[in-house]
Amino acid sequence: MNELKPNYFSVSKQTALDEHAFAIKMKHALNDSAQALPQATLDKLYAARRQAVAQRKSAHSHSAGFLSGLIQKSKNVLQHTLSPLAFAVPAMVVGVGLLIFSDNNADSYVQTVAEIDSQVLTHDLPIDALLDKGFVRYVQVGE
Amino acid sequence: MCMATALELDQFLARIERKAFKQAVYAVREEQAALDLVQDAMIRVSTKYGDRPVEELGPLFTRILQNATLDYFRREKVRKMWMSPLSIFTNDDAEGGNDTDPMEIIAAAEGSEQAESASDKVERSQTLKIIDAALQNLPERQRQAFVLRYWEELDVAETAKMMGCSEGSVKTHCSRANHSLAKMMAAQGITL
Repeated sequence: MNELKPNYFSVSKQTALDEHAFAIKMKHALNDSAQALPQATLDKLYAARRQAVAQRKSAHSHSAGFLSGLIQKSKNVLQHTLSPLAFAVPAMVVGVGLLIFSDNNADSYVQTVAEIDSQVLTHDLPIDALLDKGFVRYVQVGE
Repeated sequence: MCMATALELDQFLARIERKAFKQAVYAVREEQAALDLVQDAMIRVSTKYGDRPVEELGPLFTRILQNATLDYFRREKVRKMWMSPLSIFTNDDAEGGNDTDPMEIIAAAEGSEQAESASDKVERSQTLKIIDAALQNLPERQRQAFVLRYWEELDVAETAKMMGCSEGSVKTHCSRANHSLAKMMAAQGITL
């Protein structure tokens, strides 16, 4: 079997170099083989290529997709950002309004009490008379 | 890096289609199946990666074709597993007649008086057929390593990555492939 081997395998020192040279020659032979395909096969490959290119993922569709995605994202961000504000702002207005209203109420109560106090203090009758149960009974029966 | 235009994609596919087809034929040993694999790989690279720079398309296409070939073998394995119990009902001669044994091609070319006396073109064509048959007859991994390393001109690291093995394995596969090919062709009287 040894005599069938080409010379470059018989010299062990040159095996690596010969392998490389052999591979290069094989590459050229394979390229020749690829160039010698029958026309029918080439036609089929051409048709396959045309079909593939027609279905190409284009840059335009990519950028359009990118833009639409960006717009959608922006909408989502706005919705997410605005939706809490949409609830928070009216709530804050109502809260502040209630605070102002209750504050005004307290002021008017204090003012009313102060007026009564001043009227009581400036009345002809002494305070002790108003606090006396018998006198109050006398006034009620008399009316 | 710019995205590949339709023209660049077309030119890229035109540049690699013949080699891709031959590689697929070496792997699956059937022209129609090889055409289907190449077409699928072309469509896949076009639809999935058509917007990539043209420089990136080569490795992507090689990877896609390799994966498609592996998928083909897996499907064939499953099909054969299901078909083999039924094969006793089929005529073996009818199916066997369609199988092409690469060694038969080599044997047919060997010692053919017509081939020896034909013109250089025919002789060259016969030589290429023998080389094709020899490559087709290599074990799968050896052929894969040889094709990627020497025909696709990937370096050892890239070939290892593509094959999912170590660089040492690539070197071993390539060396064995070289020796096997040389031996098969020497047996046919061809020395490169």
